[in-house]
Amino acid sequence: MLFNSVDFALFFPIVFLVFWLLANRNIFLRNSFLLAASYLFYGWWDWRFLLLILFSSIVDYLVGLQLGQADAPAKRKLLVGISIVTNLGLLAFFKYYNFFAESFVDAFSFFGRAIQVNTLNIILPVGISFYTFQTMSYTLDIYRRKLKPVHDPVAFLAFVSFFPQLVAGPIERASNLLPQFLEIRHFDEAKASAGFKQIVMGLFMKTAIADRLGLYVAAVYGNVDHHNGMTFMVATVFFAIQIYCDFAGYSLIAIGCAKTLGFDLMDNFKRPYFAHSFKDFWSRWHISLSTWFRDYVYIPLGGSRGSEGRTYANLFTTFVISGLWHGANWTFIIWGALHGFFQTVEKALQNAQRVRLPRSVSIVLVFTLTCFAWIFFRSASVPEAFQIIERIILHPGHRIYTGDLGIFSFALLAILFLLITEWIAEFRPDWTLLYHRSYAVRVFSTSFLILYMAGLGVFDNSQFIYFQF
Amino acid sequence: MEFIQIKGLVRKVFLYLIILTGIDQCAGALLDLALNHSPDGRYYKAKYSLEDCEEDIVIIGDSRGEMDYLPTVFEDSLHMSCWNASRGGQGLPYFRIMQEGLLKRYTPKIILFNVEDNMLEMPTDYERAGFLRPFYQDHPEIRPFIDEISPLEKWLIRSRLYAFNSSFYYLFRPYIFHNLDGDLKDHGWKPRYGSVDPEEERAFTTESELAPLDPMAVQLFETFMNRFKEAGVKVMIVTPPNYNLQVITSSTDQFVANYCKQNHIPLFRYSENIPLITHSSWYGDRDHLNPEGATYFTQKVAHKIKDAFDLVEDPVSVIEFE
Repeated sequence: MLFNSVDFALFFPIVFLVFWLLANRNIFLRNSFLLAASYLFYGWWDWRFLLLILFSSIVDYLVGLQLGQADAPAKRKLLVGISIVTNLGLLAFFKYYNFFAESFVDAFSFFGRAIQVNTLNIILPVGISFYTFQTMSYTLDIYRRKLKPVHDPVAFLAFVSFFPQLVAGPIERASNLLPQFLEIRHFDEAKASAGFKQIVMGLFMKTAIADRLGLYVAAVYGNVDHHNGMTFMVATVFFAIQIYCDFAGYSLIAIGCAKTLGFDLMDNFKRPYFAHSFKDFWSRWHISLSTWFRDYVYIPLGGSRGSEGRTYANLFTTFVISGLWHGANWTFIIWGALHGFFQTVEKALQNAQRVRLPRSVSIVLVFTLTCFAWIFFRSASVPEAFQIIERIILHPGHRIYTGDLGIFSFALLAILFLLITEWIAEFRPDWTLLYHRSYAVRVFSTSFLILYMAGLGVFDNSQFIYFQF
Repeated sequence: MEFIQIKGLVRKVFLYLIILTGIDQCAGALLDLALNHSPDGRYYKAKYSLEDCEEDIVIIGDSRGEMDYLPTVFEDSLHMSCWNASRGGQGLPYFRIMQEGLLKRYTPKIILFNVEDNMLEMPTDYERAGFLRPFYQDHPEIRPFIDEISPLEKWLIRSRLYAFNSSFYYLFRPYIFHNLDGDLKDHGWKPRYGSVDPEEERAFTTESELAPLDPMAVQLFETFMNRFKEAGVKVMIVTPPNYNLQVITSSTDQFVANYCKQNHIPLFRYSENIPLITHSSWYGDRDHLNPEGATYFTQKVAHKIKDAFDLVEDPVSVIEFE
């Protein structure tokens, strides 16, 4: 079920009302209802996906219970190993099997040996990368003795499948979200109102900005042979904004939905294109994933505790894995590797205390390099990405393709609107109209967003980009 | 306590939605006013096609339908009134909407249907016809096509502001810049000025690819033809020329040719006509004829119409290509 669908528009108000009727009466009943609603939400795509999430949840619930009782290090390692192998095994099979099989064939043929590996016709279950990471963080935290196992299976299943953030995050830590399923909730109108505003803002970012820019980006990237370098530069900047608004919009809707039900989810984005370094960028972009990788990959690899060289290698490896997490394609791996490279160089320069750039120059530089990396992320293949880069460098051309002038001008308007709202949120948060102290201003600004969406939003039932991951 | 709070919130939301609906209706009414007084442009043209057009000959097609055929030439040559209802970037859903809009009011004598050589191979794109949303409420005949755009459509269209979604640029442009989509006196024709540079344009190419047909496009095409046949309208199909691109055959061409043969529909393929294809000074760009080329081409087609439908009129003066 998509957030921007009629199904969800009917589903959510019903869930909201029933949830609050049950909220402070009986925790078990309330969590059972949330679980049923979440499974309905997820099964709407394909009911067979439910078997996977149920399997993954049950394994981690049982592993968690056993870990809580086990003291022997070997047994604890075995138990956490079962959780990791189960979750990563599901991920490897459903997401990466065909990619690895094809890559093996390519590698062997490169050395002149032809081998045959059968690929499988596998459907990628929506959100599998998100919920496997969320449920794995539970067993890993218990293994590290940072968390006590939960003994309420319904609360645990509801935590793993919590519908607002099930398919594209934020990837919540069990230590933050799980206890919220065990508390009595009381309706708070101010919190619900703030949640609804986040939903409106999220829908705005998705329909009025991301999908609007997406029309132009698809027209350019879908027709690589026909456009010049300048057009690709514009399309890449548009894509940078598109993917940000698509994913941050989704996250806002998720956080807002959860908030109306009284749950607090972590922030996932904090105006990433105002980042003045790559380290800063990754503390603002997809925060729930970047902190997950920091805690469960980078630090276990040794983090920055070893030599300088080892630290760089750990950083680079973490980003390559992060790229692979995004998708089973070399384009994503190169995207991750580029970010790893940028971070490594940045760290090396900082260590050497060589470079001190003005903040505004740093922001532009980080944005430019981020856009460069987005070319790989958006391209269908690595050769296509290089073809685009070649166009940008060698064949910039004289004219920018605008396509339909209506679509293009509304895309520019959307960017202008985003720039203003982001600038205000970053530098003048007290000017934010949506949360202004005046009731009239709040109502006016919310109404403006809704009416703008009606007039200039794109409602083509498009998926959120991150659903594919 | 909580139940009372939730009830209060629901009441507030309900009230807010009523106010929002009021604003939406007012905004829609103002936009309707702008649409109804549009001096020219694509909304004027769509409104005329759906509500006022009563010409003998109606041309239906995409951008090449819009730019390659001059109604005034048909009028002078055939002594019949003519209106060009074509619209750039459109496809079969739009053609069907125009058809239903026309047949609801009257029966044209002749329809000139401009068919692209790959029309039935392209996936059917209803979204493009979305620019006709402002007519949704007053024209029930177009609703099934607009509803096809997405499952959300029939809900969203209840908003009068949404009915004008993304239309503002083209809705208000004619108030500032006149005749960008053609002069009213040209009866729907939109000129494509300019010329191609043979040195820089593509070299002579032939095409004979047989791509699979899109079943939905085929169904829409057959319905389009059958609806006119049932209404007793004479239909003539023309495939227009591209500069230096000779389409020898395509799946669409084969299908359309068979259909026309079985149903005795006149079909004229200019997409393989070498003299016309290679005449660089007649093209505004590689896909569209300029006014000079369009005038010659329309005279040629007028001649064919006269022959095909055995119109007893004065001889038509035509500049021959061959």
